Amino acid sequence: MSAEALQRQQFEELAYQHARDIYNSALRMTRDRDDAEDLAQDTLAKAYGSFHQFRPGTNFRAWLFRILTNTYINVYRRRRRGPDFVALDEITANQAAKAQDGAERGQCRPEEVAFADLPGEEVQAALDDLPDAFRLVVMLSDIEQFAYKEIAEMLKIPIGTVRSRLFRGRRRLRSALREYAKAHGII
Amino acid sequence: MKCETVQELMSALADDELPAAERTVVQEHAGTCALCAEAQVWLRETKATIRTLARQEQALPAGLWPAVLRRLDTPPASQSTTAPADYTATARPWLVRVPMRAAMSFSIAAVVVGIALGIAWFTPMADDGTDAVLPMEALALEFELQAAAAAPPRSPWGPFSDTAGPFMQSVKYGPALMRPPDPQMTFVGQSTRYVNGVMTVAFTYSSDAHSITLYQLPAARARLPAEGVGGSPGCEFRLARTQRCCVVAWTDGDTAFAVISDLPPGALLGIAQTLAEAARAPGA
Repeated sequence: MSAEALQRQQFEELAYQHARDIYNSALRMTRDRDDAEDLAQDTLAKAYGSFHQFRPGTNFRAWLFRILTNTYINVYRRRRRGPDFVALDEITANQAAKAQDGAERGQCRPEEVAFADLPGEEVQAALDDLPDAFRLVVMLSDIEQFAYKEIAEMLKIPIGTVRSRLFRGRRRLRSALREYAKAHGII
Repeated sequence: MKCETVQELMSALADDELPAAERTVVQEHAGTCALCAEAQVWLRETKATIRTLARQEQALPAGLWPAVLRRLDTPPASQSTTAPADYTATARPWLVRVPMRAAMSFSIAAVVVGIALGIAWFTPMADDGTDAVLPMEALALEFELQAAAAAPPRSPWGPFSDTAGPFMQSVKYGPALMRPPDPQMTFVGQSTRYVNGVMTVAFTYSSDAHSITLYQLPAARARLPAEGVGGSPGCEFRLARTQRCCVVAWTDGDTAFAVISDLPPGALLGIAQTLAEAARAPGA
């Protein structure tokens, strides 16, 4: 097999392992299926174009995410649509009951139970409402589980900025999640 | 230290990103400040709540990976400067046969890049300089493969690493198939590709003037062309052709095979017969 064909095969093998991950992250970033597909495609095509720059033995996933975040920031952020609206009155009796149980048994704080039982769309909506500067660091840290150093490289910001944005992002999220929990009558 | 500063450190502590010295400061402060002790709880809680979103993964849309592969096959012309200028002339002399008129109507740079990237497609250019057809597209056109929109794409490297999969058992990829079907040809490489969402394994061979790609895919997923062109019971060759290329296809057990090339039908049938025998050989 020629060196080029081998490189292509290696890229396909590596990239496919992360394609779903990239798509899901693109979906969270853009909040639009079509944009997410385009962003994921752009990311993987760009990655192939730069594959010769990837150093074997380093973290391929982090490398791909660096391309993803750059592409998002440079191209897609400008046309990001507003968050989808989510009905807030869909709390199930089960979730409310579980929150009540937890509070009565004193096992944990009702607020924690409420947060844990919030429907995913509402957690997502709270995240979507964050300004991008906070949203991206929270996503990359809490959902994608990258280290501060990796996030700093992806967003081209100092590690200290990653740390402070994460804290401020979480503080805003906590307020938003409390609002959702209150809207559900849990706390 | 201000509570806000301590809470920022706590946030980093929840991420396991706090140096030991600062960890001590945080813990001492939390022992004496109810507000910060509470913050430690909600910071962890908020982090865990956001983390739950990771479980809400969507499947990869069926068309996404095939679309990516198509884009890898057609790199943007802006990358052309990365290809060494003399690469095609020495490594792929068959490219030289491209008529001048056709060459002028294409971005030569784009072709050079395509070849330099080692992509296993060929460019059966028409003399009138119209668009080259990628074999995948021609194959899809001729075979009308059943789209597998409902099924998420399987790993493209499955046949090479997943020893348990049924696809693995139906695909031949041993040394017998790596031997070129004609002494004038060389084996270029193997790759996996999606055709309408169906995984295929492709072997490519090339000579000075032509290139041939052999596709393998599950027989159940392929509709063969109608025109019969000989063969034996259980291994009947079918032919389809477009303006620029021919496809000869056959099935053997659970596997469908197709060779696609710019060779004339008679010559391609000969190649198909050789490859069909190779695929049946013990080493395949």
